[in-house]
Parts: sequence; structure tokens; C-alpha cells
Amino acid sequence: METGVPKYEKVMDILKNSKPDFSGEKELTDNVLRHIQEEKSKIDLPELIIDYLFGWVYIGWVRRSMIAVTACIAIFFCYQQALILRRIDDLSGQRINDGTIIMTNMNDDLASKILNYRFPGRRLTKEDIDASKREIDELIKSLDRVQTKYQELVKAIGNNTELREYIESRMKEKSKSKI
Amino acid sequence: MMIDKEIIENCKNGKLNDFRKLIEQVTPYAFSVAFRITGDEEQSKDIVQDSMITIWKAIKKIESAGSFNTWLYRIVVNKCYDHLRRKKRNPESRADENTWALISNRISENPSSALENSEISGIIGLLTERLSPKQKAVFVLSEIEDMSNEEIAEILGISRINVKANLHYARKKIGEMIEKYL
Repeated sequence: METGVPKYEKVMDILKNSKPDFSGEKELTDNVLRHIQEEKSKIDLPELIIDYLFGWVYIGWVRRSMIAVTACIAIFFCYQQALILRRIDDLSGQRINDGTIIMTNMNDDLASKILNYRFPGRRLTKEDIDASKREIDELIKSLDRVQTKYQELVKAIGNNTELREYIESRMKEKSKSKI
Repeated sequence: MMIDKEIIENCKNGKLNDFRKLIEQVTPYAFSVAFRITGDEEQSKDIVQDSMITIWKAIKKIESAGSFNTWLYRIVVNKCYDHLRRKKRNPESRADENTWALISNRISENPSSALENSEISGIIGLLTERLSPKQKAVFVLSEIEDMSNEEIAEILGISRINVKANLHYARKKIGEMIEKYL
């Protein structure tokens, strides 16, 4: 009694040795060529335009080159964007001195805010001052008031060691010795 | 199947006379695969004819003449898939007992003689009726058309492991049937 495997091989051999008989080969060839010629005789304008415009996609090396160029452009774009962002970041951190005021990037730091309105050691002439005498008097008075309040604050801190230590520690945190 | 590269290049340039030569060279192979997969002579001729028209339309896309064979078989097999899917909706009944008797006769009496188309169709149809279209295609290309797993993987667009798995399943199923009925 034969097992399944030899029988399987015998069946496969029979099938391999039996090539299908292909009749009507000429008729098939003629049908294909007739169909192609009929299609050719029909002028399909949109197809012609699309073929004319995008026919290059069938050329392998052109297609691959376009992919490579696209990849290069994308990489260059990303690199450029990164450079621009970095430059903007740098510029936003820089101070601008236009001769009258110093501008810095705005933040919550009190010292920076004061610095924004500080004159950089420029001496004013009489013509530069357009404020009235009354306004200047008021400015001097307000400066005096601020100075008095500052002195009172220093005195208050001087009597309270706990408060002094607290303020000193906060100053150290902000790396400042004086407001 | 060896196709002259010049013929393919000329076909790419739109020369119909060379395409006629190409058709004459490749249709027996294309028909063999289509017929062994579908088991239907008339449908196989239609499949080959459609495949040739598709090839003419898309031959410019071929990058190298060396890949033509794979490309041709891929087109034919895909058209066979379409046919098998349609056929699945309208399955035909088969004369199982007669076909098994025919196989048994051939094995015992005259194993070297060639079968007729109807006999080939009946035997392959019977053996592969429980297989999916993909398993059927793998079985035909590997076991009957003697193609390598690499070639089949390229033609069917699947991995070699997938080819091996499908082939293993097909052999097992067909082996079981042969053992049971012969």
C-alpha cells in the first residue's frame, strides 16, 4: 500500500508533464493588436495632456532624482527654520542701546524693568529739557519720598534679624545686593 | 521563458510588430499559469488577452527588461485572482468521483502521458477546491510551474516566509485529500 507522499509526487508529476494545450494563439494575438490599434485611433486629449505633462514619472532615474531633490529641499528647509529660530532666540536676549535708553527682553525681573528706563550716563543740555519747573520740583519731591521710604525700610530691616536674613536670602537667590 | 531585451525596448518605444513577437513568445506561458490557476480554458484566454493589453499600456513603466517575466506573471495572477473571486460567488459543482478515478487510473496505468485540458482542469480544480486564491496561486506556481520561492514572492508581492507558509498549507491539504481518496 502506497503512502500519501509518493502518491502526491506522482500526481504532481502528471500535472507537471501535462502542459495545457493552447489553441487559438493567432486569434488571441490578432484580437490584442486590433484592440490596441482601435485604442490608438481614439484620440484622448486629457490622457495626451497628462502623458505629456507627467510622462516623465515613467522614467526611473528622473523619478528617483526628483525624490532625492525633494528630500534635500525638505532637509534644507528644516535646517533653515532651526537656524532662524535660534537667531530669533539670540536676538530676543540681547539689549539694544539706541543712545537714550537700553531695551532688554521683557521679563518679571524688577531690576530689568528699572534698567529699561535708565539713562546710560548721558548728560542732558538745557535744550533737551522741555519739562516745566513745577514738573521738575514734583519729580525731586517724589525722589525724596522714595529715598525716605527706602531709608525707613533699611532701618526696619536693621532691627529685625529674621527679616534681614529672609531678605538677604531672597537677594542671594536673585544675585542682587541692592534693589 | 527568455525574452529578447531588444524586443522589450522596442515595445517600450511603441513598435507594434515587436509587440506581436512578444505576444507570440509569452502567451503560452501566461496561458499555462492562468489555466492551471483558474481551470477554465475560455476564461484563461480572456485573462491572457486582457493581460497583453494591460502590458502594452504599461510597458513604459518597466525599468529593466530583466524584470519583465515577474511583471507579466504578476499581471496574469492578479487577473486570475479577480476571476477566482467572481467564481467564488457562483461555485460550480464538480464530478469528484470521476476525477478521482481518472487520477487513480493515470497513476497506475500511464503516468507519463499528458492529460487533456479538461482533465488538467478537473484534477487541479478538485485538489485545490479547499484552498484560498493565494494558496492556489502559490501551489500552482511552485509545484506545477516549478518556480522558486523568491520568484513567487516577487510575483505575488508577499514575503518568502508567507510563500512557504501558504505552500506548506496547500501541500498538507492536498496530501490529505490524496491520501483519503486514492
